[in-house]
Amino acid sequence: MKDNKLVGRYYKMCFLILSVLLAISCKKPFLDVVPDNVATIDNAFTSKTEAEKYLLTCYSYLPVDYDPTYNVGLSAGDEVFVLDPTNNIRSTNVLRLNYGDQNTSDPIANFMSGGRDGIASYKAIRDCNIFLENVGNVSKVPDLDIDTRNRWIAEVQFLKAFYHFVMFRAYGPIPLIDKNLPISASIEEVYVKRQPVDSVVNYIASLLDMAAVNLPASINNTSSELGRITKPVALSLKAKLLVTAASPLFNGNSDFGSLRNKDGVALFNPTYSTEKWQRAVDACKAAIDLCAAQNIQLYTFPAQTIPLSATTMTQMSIRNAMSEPWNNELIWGSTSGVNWGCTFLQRCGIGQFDFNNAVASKTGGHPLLGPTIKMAKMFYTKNGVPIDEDRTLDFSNIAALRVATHEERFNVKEGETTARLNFDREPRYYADLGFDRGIWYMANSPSKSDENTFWLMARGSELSQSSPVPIAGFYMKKTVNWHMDWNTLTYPPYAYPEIRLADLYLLYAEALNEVQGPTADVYDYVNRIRARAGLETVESSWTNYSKNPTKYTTKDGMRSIIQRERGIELCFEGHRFWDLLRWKTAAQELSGNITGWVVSGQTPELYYREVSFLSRHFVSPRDYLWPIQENDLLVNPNLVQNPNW
Amino acid sequence: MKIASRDFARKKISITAFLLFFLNFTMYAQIVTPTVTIKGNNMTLEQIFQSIERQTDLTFFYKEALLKSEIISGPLNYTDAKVTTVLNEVLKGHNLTYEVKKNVILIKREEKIAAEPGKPAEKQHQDIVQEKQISGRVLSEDTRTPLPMATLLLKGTSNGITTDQNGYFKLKVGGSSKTLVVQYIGYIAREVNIVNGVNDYEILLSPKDNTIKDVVVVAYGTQKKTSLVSSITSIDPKELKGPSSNLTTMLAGRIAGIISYQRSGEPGADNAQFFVRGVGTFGAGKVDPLILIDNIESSSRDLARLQPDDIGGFSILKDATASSLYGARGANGVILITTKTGGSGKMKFNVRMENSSSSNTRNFALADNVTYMKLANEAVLTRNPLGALPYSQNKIDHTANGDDPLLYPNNNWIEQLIKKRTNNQRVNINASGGSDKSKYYLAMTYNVDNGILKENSLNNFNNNIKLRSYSLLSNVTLNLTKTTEALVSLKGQFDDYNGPIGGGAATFYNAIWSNPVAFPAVYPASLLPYAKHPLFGNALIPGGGGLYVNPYAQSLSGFQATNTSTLTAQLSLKQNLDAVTPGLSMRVMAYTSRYAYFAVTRQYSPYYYMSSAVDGKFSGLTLINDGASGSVGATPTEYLTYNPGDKNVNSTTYGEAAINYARVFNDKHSVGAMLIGTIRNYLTGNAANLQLSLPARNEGLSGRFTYGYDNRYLFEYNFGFNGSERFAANHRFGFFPSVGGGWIVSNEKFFKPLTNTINQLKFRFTYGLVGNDQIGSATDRFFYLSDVNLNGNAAGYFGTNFNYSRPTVYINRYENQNITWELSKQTNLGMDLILFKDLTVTVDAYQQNRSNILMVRSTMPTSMGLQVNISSNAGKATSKGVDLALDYHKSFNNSLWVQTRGTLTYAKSKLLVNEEPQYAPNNKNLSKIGNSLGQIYGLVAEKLFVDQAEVNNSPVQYGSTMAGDIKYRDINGDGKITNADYVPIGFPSTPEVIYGFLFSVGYKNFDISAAFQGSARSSFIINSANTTPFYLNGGNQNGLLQVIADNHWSEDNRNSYAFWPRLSNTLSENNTPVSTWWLRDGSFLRLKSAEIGYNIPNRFLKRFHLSNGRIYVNGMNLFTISAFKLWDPEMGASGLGYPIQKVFNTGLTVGF
Repeated sequence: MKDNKLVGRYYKMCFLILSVLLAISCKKPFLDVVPDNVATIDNAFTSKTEAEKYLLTCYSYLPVDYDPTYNVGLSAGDEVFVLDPTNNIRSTNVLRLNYGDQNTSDPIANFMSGGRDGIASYKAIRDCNIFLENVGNVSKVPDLDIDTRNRWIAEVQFLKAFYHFVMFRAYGPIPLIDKNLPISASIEEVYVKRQPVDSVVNYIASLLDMAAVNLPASINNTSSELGRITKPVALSLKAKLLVTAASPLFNGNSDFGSLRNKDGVALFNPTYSTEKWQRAVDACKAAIDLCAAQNIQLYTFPAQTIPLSATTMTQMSIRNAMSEPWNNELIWGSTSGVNWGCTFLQRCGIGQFDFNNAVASKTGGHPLLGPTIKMAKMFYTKNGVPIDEDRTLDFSNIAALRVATHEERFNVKEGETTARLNFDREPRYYADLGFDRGIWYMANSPSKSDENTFWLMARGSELSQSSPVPIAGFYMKKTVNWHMDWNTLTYPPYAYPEIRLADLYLLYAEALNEVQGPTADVYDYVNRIRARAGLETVESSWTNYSKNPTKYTTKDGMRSIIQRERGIELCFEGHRFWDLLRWKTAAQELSGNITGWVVSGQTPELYYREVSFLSRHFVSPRDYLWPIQENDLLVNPNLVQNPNW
Repeated sequence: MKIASRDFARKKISITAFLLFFLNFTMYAQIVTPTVTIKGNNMTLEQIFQSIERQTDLTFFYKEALLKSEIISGPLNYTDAKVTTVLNEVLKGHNLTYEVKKNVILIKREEKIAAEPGKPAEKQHQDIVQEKQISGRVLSEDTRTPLPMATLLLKGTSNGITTDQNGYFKLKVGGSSKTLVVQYIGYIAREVNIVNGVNDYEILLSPKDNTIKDVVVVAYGTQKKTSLVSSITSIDPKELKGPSSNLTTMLAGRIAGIISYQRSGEPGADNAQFFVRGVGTFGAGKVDPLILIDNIESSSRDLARLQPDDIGGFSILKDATASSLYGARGANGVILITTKTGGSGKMKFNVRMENSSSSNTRNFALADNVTYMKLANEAVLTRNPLGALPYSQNKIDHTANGDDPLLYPNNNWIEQLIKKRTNNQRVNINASGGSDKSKYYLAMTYNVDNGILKENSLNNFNNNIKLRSYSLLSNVTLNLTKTTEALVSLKGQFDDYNGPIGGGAATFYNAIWSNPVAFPAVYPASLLPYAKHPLFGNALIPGGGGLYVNPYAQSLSGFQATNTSTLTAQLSLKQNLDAVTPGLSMRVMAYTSRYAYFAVTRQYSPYYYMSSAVDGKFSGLTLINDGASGSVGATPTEYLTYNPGDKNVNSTTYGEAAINYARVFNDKHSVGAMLIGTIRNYLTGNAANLQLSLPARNEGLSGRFTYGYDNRYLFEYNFGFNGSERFAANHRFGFFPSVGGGWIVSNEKFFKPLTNTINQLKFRFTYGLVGNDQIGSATDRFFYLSDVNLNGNAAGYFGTNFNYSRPTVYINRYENQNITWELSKQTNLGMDLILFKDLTVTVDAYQQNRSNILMVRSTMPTSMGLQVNISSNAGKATSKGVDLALDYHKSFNNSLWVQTRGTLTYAKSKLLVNEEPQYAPNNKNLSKIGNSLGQIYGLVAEKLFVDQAEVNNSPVQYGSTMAGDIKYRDINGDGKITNADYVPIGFPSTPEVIYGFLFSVGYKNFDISAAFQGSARSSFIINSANTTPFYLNGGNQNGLLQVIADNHWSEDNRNSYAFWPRLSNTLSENNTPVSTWWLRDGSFLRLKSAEIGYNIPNRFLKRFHLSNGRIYVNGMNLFTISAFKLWDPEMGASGLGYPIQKVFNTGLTVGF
């Protein structure tokens, strides 16, 4: 109004101010802070080096069986027991299974989600599928040669099968995830259903068949590949899968007839089929033949520079079949968890045999988890028959005290008093168990021989408190490598035997007995294992010593002999619990009192008293199958719960 | 101009261009005294003055009666006329003149003012003999600060004077008038009787509540309170004063609209949680309000350290219209604070010094140790008759006798670790002053807060908590030109902290988590005279668990020190553009803020000894952790080891530029507009990965438009158009508009008859949208990017020697392009009411609807095998509530005044859409929809089982259950108790109601005040795992609370409603889940603060050349009324931590 020119200028300026404001607020690049090269899943498949990481990622979900606090097969069975609560145990989830703490709210050892020390199988499977999708596409990972590519694919197919197997073993019918669903998949698509047992078995078997084609028969590059999956592993797992599928739990089991999907599809086939056993026999035979071709044999302890007694040599063959690294009996040694847990099983098994180095404050051992008296009773007498069947030896009073003689010096410390239970037992008893006054031969024996070697003092206050005596008074000696050194507290790592030849032999014998009854082949495969264990054949032992000398001649009798043989031979290796489930004997075996010696007793009289720690209740048939987490059922309305959970 | 446009064309740093342009521009401005536009017919002088007041900063002072009748007859027509011109013309011929002092215009009778004050008029001749001079001082009644330029008039005369800079006056009085009328802007005028023989007067004026807060700090500016339509609570900062160096603890109950609670009293960790109108959203994102101190985005720590002395304005923006300008970040409400700036005049100093004594409001009580051992034995036997007893009768007997305390230790950890009381000091000094050209406000604060942990002479370092916080504030205002004002503000805030490793709460936890009888805290040094270290006691845990935790050793064996500093430099420029068009102004502001934090720990590893015994008598010590191979526990050291801790540095830069326009047209149409552009950049030096290291940025354009008609109808429109780097390009910008309207009923003509009782009545309504970009956890910023870790934990370990491994690939996040802003749609209805001049009522009711709340998609089955949860903007919630404030203020004669205030905040939230499965009809109890966001979920505990028969006949519980364990209700009727039986229990964990009641009474120099604060409708859960006696967790073995010793289920006392179920030395799987058994009511009422003060009278002040002085005694958290007795109820579930403090304080403030 005063000066039009001036006002005009102001308007221009106002316009400018507005423009600047708009420029501030709308300059898009200012908010675009992300640089171009942010890692995506595609980066994992750009080169062989990166793809190998993904391969090992698929391996990384394998169960940490080294650690009894994860290993349901070991800790939930009747072989060992630990009193809860227990200090310095990593976690008591799995250990609480014995107490009947399994539940649906937050299941212990949830093998679907990985909760409470289970393994996250579905995550693992998703990773396997991602790997298969990408590496299966030859346009990706250009520097990966076709042989390696095929081998890797085969390995991951095996792993995918294994993760399904882990769930099958626990839950029976499960949803199968053959292909990954995209994140954006509709709700209806992601509501998967459980598949019938037979379909699950067939699916896993077909995956293993596929994998076996391109898997190497053995590992050439042992220095960096031992532990990777080979063809014998795949065939052995298939054998185990089919034996499991043919076993009473899954073959003709009418207990779970009511288990149906919501659309009415029955998940358990109630009809018994011998055909399933025949399939198992074939699979076992195929695996055994391949192992033989690959020079996988029952392990025997080689001759030493310092001569050892025959007793000790036999024991060492038994012990080292488990705990000698990469021994020639091993089919699949798992290295999962080696980086942090490889010593844990050994620490759980170790007794303070070396009392020169057993100072008060040393926490070398961790034998919190210990075999029960039931496990100790399961071993045969020196005649190779059960202690209650032996007509030549009286084990009616297992706690009766007896002094070890000179002849028994390789098993029990000469001149020391211990219980009847510890005398006149088979070599595997002395090889696998540590017990009060028992001999514990080790590579660093002070006498340089098995004479005057280490022995255990496990009574109250004899050992320092920091390395306690396991609850029942027995140690898992078998799990300890014979080069363990108390002085330096070193535990030589070994690969955990997921599958070894003895396991396969016994599976074969079991399946064959179901198809043919006790034929020569059945006896033969059991006897091979007994021979390594320093026992006579089934036929001769039963005929000569058993109160039931013809037991082995019937299918039922032989079945029970094979089952006991498995329990003894494969003790502390995480098989028995799953065996009891598939045999449907868990209801008897996993009920009743868990007993042990009074470890606080300072004299033999006080020590050797059998006391109960816990009375177990296996709820049948409910406990034969794992519960599915309640929330999973709420989220996915197509899932049905296992019966009675 | 050329430069500016070229810069613009190049799209370079826009702020710089702006500034250049800005400075350039000022050369054109020609600003003189303010100009006004006045048009009308036959206006009264009063109308003219009011009109000028509305258009300028000027305030008029005049005697109402004098001017009411003065009418300027004929039309007036001034357009953009200088105020002086207008005044000269209208006052002419009315025997009036005016005097301009700063922004005050004093209207006087011309002929009489000219006369010597006190010069007798003819008719007053009889009073000549009584003529005398009185003197005195005018002070603000509440702050005791002097009031400069207050006017004093002898009633009925025009004899008057104004006070000087320090509020002093001298006045010759004579004539018949015996009454002095004292006036000051914003204060209630007072009449003071002149008493014969008294010549010195101290006159206290009390502020008019509705006028002192006339101007309210609002988003990016200020607004007259009468013209507000939005819901803003503004509080006088001095009401936040209390004997605490943490401002956040003073909010609850004082400010309507704030839900607040304090869970810990630990120095450095005692910030109260506070939420504007409760918590309206959920998830890992931001749920608490945006805090802006001088428009600087600040942390709650910055707020906590702020001194009420230095605060100029304190506002809470509660609804959409108030906060939508902060579109991107305002959804949870905004706390706006401005610090003081200087005024012109000579330098004024104010000093406040306080010394306080602080103690725990309440300690949890532990049982004696004989009981401890007996019940520890009971805990074993009651569960397993075969179990081994942890304590022999021999040990119990010797402990009871106390005959061999080294072998049979008997610790009371609370007494050994915790002091009875501690002392804290606070000092605040500020100086202000200035001239027309420049003004300054400087403040310094030094607070020392000590912890309540016991020190020990065993160490040469102090393990107790000592938090020293310093802050420095400098606000300098410069008038660069007549129309350009610059404000340079520098703020520094520094914390030096020393404390035990793990913090003070850890010491309290250790006191209950440590076995009291396993070992003595420390052995007498005389036992090993040669040892140069304290002989801490310890023992091996039976069964091979290693060492116990010795809380005494933990507390004494080291300390951690942290240093935190925040430095902010801020520059703002204001340009008046009245020359362009009246009412136009511009403003630019920029700041940068640097934050640095580091921590170090120094500690030695304690030597642990255990007692050896011969024949049951103490015989000497054995070193447990000798450090030999395989020895238990850490190897001891006599020297300190050092561990660097976290280091955290970050930097924020921010700029804003705004144009303001405010003007009144035709005296009726008041128009305001503002447009502001903001830009913000945040960088951290401690990002864990590449994605987190990328800058966090916001930019936005916001605007406000206000229109008021005749002071009766008000309208406001706001918008924020904001961008955030967190979203994919298609969601990067959000638009957040809001509208509001107001109706001042009391200004309507028809209301006139009522105005004597209802002085003001105003209704307000607002509706709008606000956003929140801080959703999800801070570590999960870029939802639209996948996050793949190609170097995860190594796996494999293949090969003969188990040494071939490779890193694994892990997906941290799946890409999702669709994640966008969380939205809050807010509706507010408010009413302001002033009754009988003294009672002010403000009530607001609101509803907020949140949508797009980021939620984990919990409907993804496990079988999908996803590595991480995926999220979507699925959640919806609503919250509603009422904020109510009542203020009553009354001054009586004879220096008596009363002030009371009541506040009530009620905020209730409700979840509307939750990502949850479709529950079957019998499991609808699991659905969270319809419940409060803070709802606690748990089992319904019916009672404790009476006997095994009842256990057997009841639904299967968790784990193995016995008589005396908690019996739960089977909600879904499936015959077993599982997590599917959870139901909502109790109230939410965040209180739904916070209320307060404050009163102050002053009489002459004394005043007394008290503030009660209450909290209601909240619940908390006692953590039974933390309190389970005898539970051994690592080296920690829980102690025994007295209440458990007194009242637990046992075979002898089969009380189904005992406080504690059947004892157990392990965590009971059945008894630990969240259930109504452990549910407690969190409501309480406490005397939050109380104060007695004495203002030093003038005659003393003068002697010491002080301008004001006050001494006072006050206290905080003096008592609490609550049904819950185990610990301070406000701490809720954190009751075993560092208790809230009860404080007694003495203070002194002086000004000179």
